[in-house]
This record gives sequence, C-alpha cells and structure tokens, in this order.
Amino acid sequence: MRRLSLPVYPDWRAWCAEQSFDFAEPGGEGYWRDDAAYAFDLTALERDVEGPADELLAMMDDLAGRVAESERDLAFLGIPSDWWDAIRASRKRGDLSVYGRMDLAYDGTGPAKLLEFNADTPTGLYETGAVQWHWLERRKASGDLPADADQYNRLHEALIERWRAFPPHGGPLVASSGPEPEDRVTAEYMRDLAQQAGHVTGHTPIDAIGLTSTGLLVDERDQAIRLWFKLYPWEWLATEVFGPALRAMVADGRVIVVEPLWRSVLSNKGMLALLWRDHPGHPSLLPTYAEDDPAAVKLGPHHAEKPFFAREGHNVRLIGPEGVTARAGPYGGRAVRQALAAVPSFDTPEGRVHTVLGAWAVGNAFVALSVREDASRITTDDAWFVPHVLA
Amino acid sequence: MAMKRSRKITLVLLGGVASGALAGCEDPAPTAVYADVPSCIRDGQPEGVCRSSFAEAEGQHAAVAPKYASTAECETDFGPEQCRPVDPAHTNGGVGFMPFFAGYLLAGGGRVAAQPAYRGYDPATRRYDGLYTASGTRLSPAFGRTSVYPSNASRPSATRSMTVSRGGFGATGRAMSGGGLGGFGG
Repeated sequence: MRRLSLPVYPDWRAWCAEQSFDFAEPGGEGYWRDDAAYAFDLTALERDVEGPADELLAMMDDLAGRVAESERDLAFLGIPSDWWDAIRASRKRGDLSVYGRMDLAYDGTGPAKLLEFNADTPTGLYETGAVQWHWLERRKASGDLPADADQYNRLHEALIERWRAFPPHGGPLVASSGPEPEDRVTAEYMRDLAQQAGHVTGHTPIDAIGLTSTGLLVDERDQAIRLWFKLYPWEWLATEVFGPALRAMVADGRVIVVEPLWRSVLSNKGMLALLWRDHPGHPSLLPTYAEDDPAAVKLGPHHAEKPFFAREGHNVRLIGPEGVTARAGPYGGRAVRQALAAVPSFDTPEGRVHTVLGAWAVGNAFVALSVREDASRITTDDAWFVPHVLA
Repeated sequence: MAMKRSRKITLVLLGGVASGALAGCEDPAPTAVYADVPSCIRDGQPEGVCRSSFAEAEGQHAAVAPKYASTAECETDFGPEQCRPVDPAHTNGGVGFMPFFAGYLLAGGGRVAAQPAYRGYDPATRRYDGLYTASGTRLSPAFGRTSVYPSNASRPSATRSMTVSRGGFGATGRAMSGGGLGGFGG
C-alpha cells in the first residue's frame, strides 16, 4: 500500500463543478484530494481486504437476523422497546438493503480489520461511485497514470443492479435528505441510479414530507410514498414528531424504506461487541466490549471508546501510548471499548495523515473501495477523500 | 485479467451532459402574484389574463389548499386565525382545517399554471414570510412580479381525500447543522 503524489491537474476545481461535485472544497476547506492516490497491489487486496470484507458482511447479516429476534440483544443496543416489533417485522419481511460502508484498518500487511459499519446512511457515495472513477479516466488520458490502470470500484453498476431487485410498489421512489448540500448531492446520485434501474423518481426534502390522517407518508404534491430512500438516520426519525407513525407503517409494510429499519441494529456501535461475542478471535475483528462489561479490562489501558450512537467520529476517544485523541460532539450514552487498530500513517506536504479504508457493500457483496486520510487518528468529516489505483 | 471497476458511468440527473435536474438547472419563468384582479390590472398585466387566472385559482382553492387535522397544525404554517374548517365535500368525512385564499399566481407563457397563493407564517419569528403555492413552494416575499421554476409551479393536485400535516421530520438534522456539525452520514 503506497501513497502516490501526482502532478496538480490544471482546473481540477472546474472539473469538479462539471460533475456537480459541489462540495469538493466545502467552505474552502480541503476534502477532495486531486493530486494524490493510494496504490494497492490487487493480489494483496483480494487476499487481505476483499476476502475478509465478504466474510464480515455475511457475519453481520447473520447477526442482524438473530438480534432482530432477541429482546436481550435489542435492549443491550439501547434500542427503545416500542421499536422492537417493527424491527422484527422489517427483517422477517426481508426488506432489501441497498448499501453500506465498512471502515477498515489496513496497512498492507495481514487481514483488514473492522473498525465500524455504517449500515444506515454512509457518506462518500458519489465520490466513490462516480467521481473517483472519472478521476482515473482523466489521469489516464493525461498520461499521469498508465493506460491499463484499474480501480477497485463497481459501485455505480452494482447499485443500479440492486435497485432492479425491488418489486413493483405502485408509485415513485422518493429520495429525501436534510439541509446539507453534500447530502443533497448524495441523495440525487442515488435517485439517478434508481431511475436508471427503471424507477420513476422524485426528491422531497426531509422536512417537507407529509403525513396524512389516513397514515401514509406523502410528498410535496400529496402523492403517497410507497418506496422511500431516506438519507437521514433512523434514530433521529424515531424521536421526531412523525416517528411513531412511521414505526406503525414499517410494522405493517405500508412503506418500504431504504435503508430498512432492521439495518439500524448494525449501524449501532454496540453491534461490534455482539460480533466479538459471537466470533471471538476472528482475524478481521478487533476485541470489543461494552464499556461496563467486566471483560473490557482485558483491553488494557490503551483502547478506543465509541458511543453506540455517535457519528462522523464525534465523541470518539482514542487512548493510546502517545496520549489521548478525542473529538468533541453531542453524542453521549453507553459506549463500546475497542482494541486499537494498526492504522497506517503517511507523510504528505501538509503533514502526517492517518488512513482508513472504506469498503462499500451492495447487498452482501463488497464492490468498491474508498480511502480517507485525516490529520487526526480519529477519522472525521474533516478527513480528505483520496482516490486509489490498482498498481 | 478481469477489470475491477465499472465499465461505464452514466448519469441522467447529475453531471454536465444530461438535463441535470438539480434545482436551478431549468430557467425560471417570469410571473406575478396578486391579491385580486384590480391590483393585477393596475400593475400593467393584460386584463383577460388577470381575470381568467383569478377565476381559475379561486375555483381550485377549496380542492387544492393544504388541509390539516387541527387548527393548531394549520396555524403553524399560516398564522393565528388564518384557518377555517374544510367543507365536508372536500374531506372523506373527516374534520379538516385549511388556510384562507390570499391571492393567485398569474398564468404565464405556457410554463406556469394559474393557481391559488397562500400567506406563509414562520412560528419561530411570528412573521408572515411570503406567498406560497398549495404544495408549499415559495413564490415571492410579497405581492407583485416574481419568477418561479416551472417544475415547482405546475398545476396543483387536489388534497380532498385526506388531511396532511408536514414538518414532522428533520428537526434533529437542523439542530445538528446549526451546531456546525456538517453532514451526519458517518
């Protein structure tokens, strides 16, 4: 695993704008790293990342099925009991999952290890599926990369294929997102893919979704929503005014939601402790316990603390030999304690960075790789997105 | 050796080549919002268009106005004392409340449909914050000339068979955004 520096491409910002990649530099801050790339050996990647990724996905899918039927595990995860029936119904019905992103620690040696799983609202979709793909073509065209350079990335086609698997549902697919511009582009990209798969689509901002007295979600034209792609976390929806109504709709299947409700058991970091419980010693897992589990002392003084419901690295604490790294945030509550992973670091002109792999899954298959680097050991929304190449 | 990446990337909504339907990629159409026919004529609009747009909008109002399960929900969107009970002919036997007809959007150039306009209210600031279509598209801060994106101003559909409340999702995201946390994906 190597980090390459490439020549600065003239007008790369204009190229991003052409792609509707409006958040390449949010607020003028760095995000998209155009003049660098990570290079991976394909054989090593297949052995150390692809194989373990598919295995982890199968393990987590199996775990989700068992957790959905286990009141003890649902209580452990801190999921309110009035949501248990709806979660069980969603899983039993086989509500289809479209996508997710695992964060993996991988330094080029040995199997990659699972840091966490974003099973509900993973970000970086458009950058991964389309932008970094086009970047490769551009760099090949300008001779900065060899003509036969490849990338581990079939996210775009895999998503279109997956959207074809949805049964007819008597209405358009409605995509909803919150106020952030990058979330709007992500939702628009997903909507684009669903449209290419044959769905009629529309977009309704999350705060414009309506609820009828007859118990249906409607768009801004009061058309009933039967298939809803929501780029908005389940645990937020659950606490909002329409939450109970949505719960009833999911329980009896009045609306199909992506990602489905049962996936919220996997995006919960408490899941990592259950996974370790069921597969102790697995080479792609880091030892993980609930912070109040007596067995957590086995991790020793150096470990990571991650609240069950935290996002984007907020409220994560890493206690390591070099000291404590922490990221502020609004998320409290019960946390897991996880062994520290060997995350590689690289020198860049802007300083040292720590690099984490994103392993994208569609259905239960690993289909694409994304890479982020951060000055902090905790990967946050200040991280840079860096394209990769197979070399 | 098998290629590991997608063969082709096509985008039909996003990106430069296709019709790129992110809001703002179609051209806005000039139009106007008036409270009545005389103010439309005084503003220099063709009398025939003023009269026919008003008649059409007034005729649509009972059917297309947003309808709510309670006065309180209606007043959150339209302001204190700005709502009245729905005629039972426009509910399926349920009780409903709807805002008053405030004015109308002038039909324009084959791209904008005449329709009723409503005065929106912001409960946070307790101010009236502009004129809206039945489906909640903001037309203008005040009566007079304005422009709209045609896809936001097509002919409204009837809301006769149910009462609808809105705004029950999104509060957490707004609070997080306000706190400078950026996107919430993870």
